[in-house]
Amino acid sequence: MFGFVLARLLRSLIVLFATVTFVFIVLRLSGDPAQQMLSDIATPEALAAFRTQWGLDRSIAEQYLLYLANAFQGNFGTSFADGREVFTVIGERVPKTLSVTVPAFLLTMLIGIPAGILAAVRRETAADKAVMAGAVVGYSIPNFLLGVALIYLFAVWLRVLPSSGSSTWQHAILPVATLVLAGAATISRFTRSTLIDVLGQPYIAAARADGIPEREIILRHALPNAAIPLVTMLGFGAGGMLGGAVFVETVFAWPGLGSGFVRAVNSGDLNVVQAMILTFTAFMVSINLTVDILYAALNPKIRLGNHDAS
Amino acid sequence: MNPPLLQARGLQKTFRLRSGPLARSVDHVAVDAIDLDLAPRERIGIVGESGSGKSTLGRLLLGLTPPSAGEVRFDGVAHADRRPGDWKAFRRQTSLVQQNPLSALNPQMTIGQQVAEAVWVHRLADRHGARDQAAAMLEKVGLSAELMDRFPHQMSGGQRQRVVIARALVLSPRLVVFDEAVSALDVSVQAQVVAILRSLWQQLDLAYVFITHDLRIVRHLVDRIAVLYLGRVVETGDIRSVYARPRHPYTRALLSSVPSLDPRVRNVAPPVQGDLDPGKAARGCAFRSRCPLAIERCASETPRLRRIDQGHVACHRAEDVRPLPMATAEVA
Amino acid sequence: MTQARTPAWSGRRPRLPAFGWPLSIWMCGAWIAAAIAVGATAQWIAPYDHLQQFPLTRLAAPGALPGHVLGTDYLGRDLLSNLLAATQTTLVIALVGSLICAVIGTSLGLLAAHFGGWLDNLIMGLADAMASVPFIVVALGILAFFGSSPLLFMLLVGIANWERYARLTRGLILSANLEGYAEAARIIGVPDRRVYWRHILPNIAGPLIVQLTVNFPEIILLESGLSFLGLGIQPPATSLGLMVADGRNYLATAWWLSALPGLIIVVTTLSISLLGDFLRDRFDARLR
Ligand SMILES: Nc1ncnc2c1ncn2[C@@H]1O[C@H](COP(=O)(O)OP(=O)(O)OP(=O)(O)O)[C@@H](O)[C@H]1O
Ligand code: SF4
Ligand SMILES: [Mg+2]
Repeated sequence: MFGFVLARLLRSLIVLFATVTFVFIVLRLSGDPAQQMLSDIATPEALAAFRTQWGLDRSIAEQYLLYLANAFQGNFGTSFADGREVFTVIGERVPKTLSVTVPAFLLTMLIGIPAGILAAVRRETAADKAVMAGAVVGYSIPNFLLGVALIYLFAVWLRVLPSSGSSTWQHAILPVATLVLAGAATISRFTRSTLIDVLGQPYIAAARADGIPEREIILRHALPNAAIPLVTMLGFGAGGMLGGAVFVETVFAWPGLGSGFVRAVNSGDLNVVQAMILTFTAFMVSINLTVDILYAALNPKIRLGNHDAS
Repeated sequence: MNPPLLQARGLQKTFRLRSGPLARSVDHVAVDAIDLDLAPRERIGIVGESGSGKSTLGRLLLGLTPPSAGEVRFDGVAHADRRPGDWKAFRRQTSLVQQNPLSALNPQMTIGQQVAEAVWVHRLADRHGARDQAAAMLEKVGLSAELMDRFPHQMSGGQRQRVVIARALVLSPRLVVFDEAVSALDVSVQAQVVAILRSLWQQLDLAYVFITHDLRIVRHLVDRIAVLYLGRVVETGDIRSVYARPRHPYTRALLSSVPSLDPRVRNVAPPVQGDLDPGKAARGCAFRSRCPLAIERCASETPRLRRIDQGHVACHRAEDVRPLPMATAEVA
Repeated sequence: MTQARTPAWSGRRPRLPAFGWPLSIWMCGAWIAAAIAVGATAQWIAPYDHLQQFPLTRLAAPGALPGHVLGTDYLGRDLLSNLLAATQTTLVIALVGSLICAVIGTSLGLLAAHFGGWLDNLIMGLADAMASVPFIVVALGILAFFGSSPLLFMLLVGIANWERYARLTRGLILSANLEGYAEAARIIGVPDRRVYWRHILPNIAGPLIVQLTVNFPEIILLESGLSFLGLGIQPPATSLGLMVADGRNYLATAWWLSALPGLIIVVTTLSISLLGDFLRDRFDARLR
């Protein structure tokens, strides 16, 4: 178990490291960073000063090391848009993003998992078909479209909720609802198929043959065995929230990481862009690491230390 | 005597096994110090129980897997010295009939295409000619040309196995390795295929290595036999003399329980007590944990192949192995 | 491979093809056929050039003007013509993107399976890395650094999900290589390239095609999403996502400007998903 966690931790670090390296290479490949960062209007002195500050006059290896050092200290320079420290800009947006994605994640699981379980247990009934129909439709509606539809419904037509901004808690309702509807569709579908797989296993048939009541079979036998694949689903779910935030925050003008990322890309604010890439990667890496550890804790093969080569 | 067509010296294959990314690796010797000579048109049988390294030996002989030590020569040329272009010529002269007949044919191609493919990838004929040759070969294994456009799943197990044999023989190879070529078939179908193999050998300039765990079948198909135990040859010799008078306790055990060497029925009548024990191989005789004749010397000294009568045996007490009871020997 | 594990459809016996299909599947098929027809002929069947502006009749509702069946947008452009052009763009990009994705992913999976060793580790490591970050993050990064050109955009939607093909292909080839027929072909001297092309590919094509039907709608969604964010298709070209974004400012007065392109996106992806699921189930049932 300890070795497993250590290996995963190491892997997470490697991913982060690789991402920084990748961004560094792309940045160098895509042209003169000084020009890109400072745009065309920069004076030659400003360019020179920038080059010295970032060590662009030194060898590529030195530049790389310097870049690494800066990146891991969170030093990405200033935003081209408003001249503030990139670190501050990101720091302000993180809580905003968390304040929609975390509730949305919890609600998604609270709705998606029970719906999936219901569908699997009541297989081929009206309940199953309703859940699956909802899931397929939810899966086919992109979340930006869902957001626009909700705005029309609740802000334009019914006029009960605000359509954009983040000043009151009511502003969070529609973004959260969008993320939840989209997320729950995927989660319920996955839960259903996982549970159906487990229910088809021989030991379930054996338990049924022993006359164990169905309720007991689901709670005692099926769900604990489905738990391991479901844990990996938490990872997808969380990743889906972060990816969804890019669209949903833009639709609702919610000032989080996602809309900030889009705005930085649109305005060519590369300092912010690189920091955003690393922030998102860092989030994903920590999510995946958490999932891996949970997975290890649940999986007896790993917990007891005799893990195999997979 | 003819010069050897195939010659193996000191052949060894070690598989490195790892149970996990951080686990220590273990070396498993699948084939150990095997010498083997095969003259043109000679037929040799390789017998041994499951896991004794028969398939691995067959693959080594055909250069399908590189040996860990030792060398194989075909027509005097070592596999290791062969360059990419030479391999093609070698492949044309050799062939393998694989152990698993169910997966040996491509489910998406007709059997005619599969047999003909061998001919035309070697540019031995154009597509038309290749098809004719394939038809002729299929005819020889008893399949009419009408079956050429069938897909493998439209044929019976025995028919499929004959297709596999036809594909292996269509280039008139000089050497073929048959790996359990008939073991998966029903007994009656086995007899048919054995008869076909015998008659084909009469017509062709063919030497072969016949791998099997079924001692009854091999008797009718080979001139010589080599008995494998845990990757080593424990006894080899002329088929008649080995069957008449086995000199190794393992061979004797196999022959005294002839039909039951098949792994599927081993539980019913174990040929020898105990299981294969790969851990024991390091020093002494690998067979000693199962051998009724084992003595102290067997644990300390590895028996080497030595000449007895016509054959070779690796056993310290070969002279003490009793002859088979008359009845068993007859049946075998 | 011929034995599907779950008995999910064991109750249903395969009927004659097509005749027993439910109505919903027919409708999906019809929609997809219509979409393909539009994708192929949009420039000829559109009543107007999609950029032509009629300044006097802006924001006309559907049915309100005889000349514009679906009305006009905020610049007085014919909505129907715009929808047709946008559908064409979206479908073409999704098609090219899916093919690029399939080719890149399949090739890399094949390389990984064939050479093994460090190349395998490298490719699969890359695949893991891709799968561990939402693709939109990668996409935004690339667009930021290289700007958005139509060609780059097409490549970009093409590399989304390549790792799925790579993993799938690698797994399929590794197991096909264990099957006797691939080795048998090599033994009789069939060159590697022909073994892959003639022997292995036809045997693994089924799952790859299934992957294509799963991937295609996702690429439509990705394309429209990026265009919605203003990072994909740029005016004067148009795409469904871009139309939804443009219409957003007129939700109060002309909601259909967003709703109609949105509806096309949803119905198209839904149809492909449903048809794909359905065919997959039947296909599997056949194999059993
Ligand atoms: N590719 C491989 N990697 C690791 N070990 C292997 C490999 N191939 C064979 N072995 C091992 O080598 C030993 C010999 O295997 P081989 O297939 O040659 O046996 P066999 O005599 O043909 O058995 P069977 O009658 O079951 O076919 C076995 O212990 C097997 O597990
Ligand atoms: S050497 Fe000893 S243990 Fe080995 S077979 Fe002969 S008698 Fe038995
Ligand atoms: Mg074998």
